[in-house]
Amino acid sequence: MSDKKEQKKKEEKKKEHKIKEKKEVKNKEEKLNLSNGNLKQHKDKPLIVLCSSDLKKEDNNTVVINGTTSGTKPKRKREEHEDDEEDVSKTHAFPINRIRTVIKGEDPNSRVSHEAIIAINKATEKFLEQFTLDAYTRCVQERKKSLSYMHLANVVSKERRYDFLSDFVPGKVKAEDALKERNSGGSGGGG
Amino acid sequence: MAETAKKAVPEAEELPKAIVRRVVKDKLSRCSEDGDISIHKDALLAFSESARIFIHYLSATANDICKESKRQIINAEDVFEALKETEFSEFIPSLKASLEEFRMKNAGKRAAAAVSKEKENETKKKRKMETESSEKGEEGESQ
Repeated sequence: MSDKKEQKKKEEKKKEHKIKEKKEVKNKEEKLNLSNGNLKQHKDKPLIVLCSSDLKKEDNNTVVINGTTSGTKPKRKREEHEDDEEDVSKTHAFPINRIRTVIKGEDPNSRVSHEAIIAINKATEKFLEQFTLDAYTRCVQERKKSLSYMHLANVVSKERRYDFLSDFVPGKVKAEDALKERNSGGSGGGG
Repeated sequence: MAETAKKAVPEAEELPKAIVRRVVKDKLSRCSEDGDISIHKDALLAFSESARIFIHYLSATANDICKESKRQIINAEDVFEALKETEFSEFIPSLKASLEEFRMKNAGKRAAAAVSKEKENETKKKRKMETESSEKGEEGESQ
C-alpha cells in the first residue's frame, strides 16, 4: 500500500512541475501580450485546451491539481472577455508599429512617444473618415453610385486643407478646372 | 510640368489595405442610407496613399513644433498642436478621448497583471500547503 502511495506522490509532483512550467509559459505570454493585445487570444486558446485536456486525463488521481485549475480557469475566461471588449472599442485602427515605421521613414532621427503615436493613429483614422465624407459629398452631388479617384482629386484640388496631397493625388479635374477658369475668364467678357 | 518624384514606397511603409478599406467603407455606410456606394480600386489606393502622406505631414509638423520648444521626443500635445496648424483641429476631441481610453486601459492592464501575479503566488503557496498536509495525513495513515 505504502509503495503505491509513494508512487502517487511522485506522480503528483511531476504533474505539478509540468503545470508550473506551463504557468511560466503563460506568464511570459501574458507579459508579451501586454505590449501586443491582439495576439493574446489566439495564443492563449490552444494553451488552455492543452492544459485542460491534460488535466482531465489526470482527473482521477489528482485532487490537489484540480483545485488549482478551478482557480485558474475563471481567470482565463475573464481575460478573454476583456479581450473581446478590446476588439469592440479599440483605441487605434492601424498597427502601432506600422505608424512608427511610416514616421521613421521620413525622419529616422525623430523620436516619438507612444502616446503621440496613438494620437497620430487616431488622427489618421479621423482624417480618412473626413476625406471619405468630403469625397462622398462630391459623389452625391454628381449622383454617382460609386466613389472614384476623381472625387478624391476633386476634394484635394478644391479644399485648402487638403493642399498637402496635391502632389500625390493630382486630379485630371485640375486641368479641366484650369480650362474652366480660363474659359470663365474669357466668356465672362463675352456673356 | 510639375514632376512628382516617383520613388518606390517600401511595402513596410504602406498602410494595411484591409484596414483602410474597412475605415472608408464603414464611414460610407454610415453616410449613405442606401449603403450600396461602391469604391473604385484606384480610389482606395488613393485613400491609402493619402493616409500615409497625412501621417508624414502630421508627424513632420509635430516634429517642428517639438523642436521649437526644444524637446527631443514628440508627445501627444505636439500632435494636437500640429492638427491645429494643419486645420484639422476638429479631430482633437476624439483624439483626446481615445488617448484617455488608452491610458485607462494601460493602467487597468498593469493592475490586472499585478493581481494575477499575486494570485499565482497565492495558489502556489496553497498548493504547497495542501501537498504538505496531505503528505502528513498519509504518514499518519501508514503509521
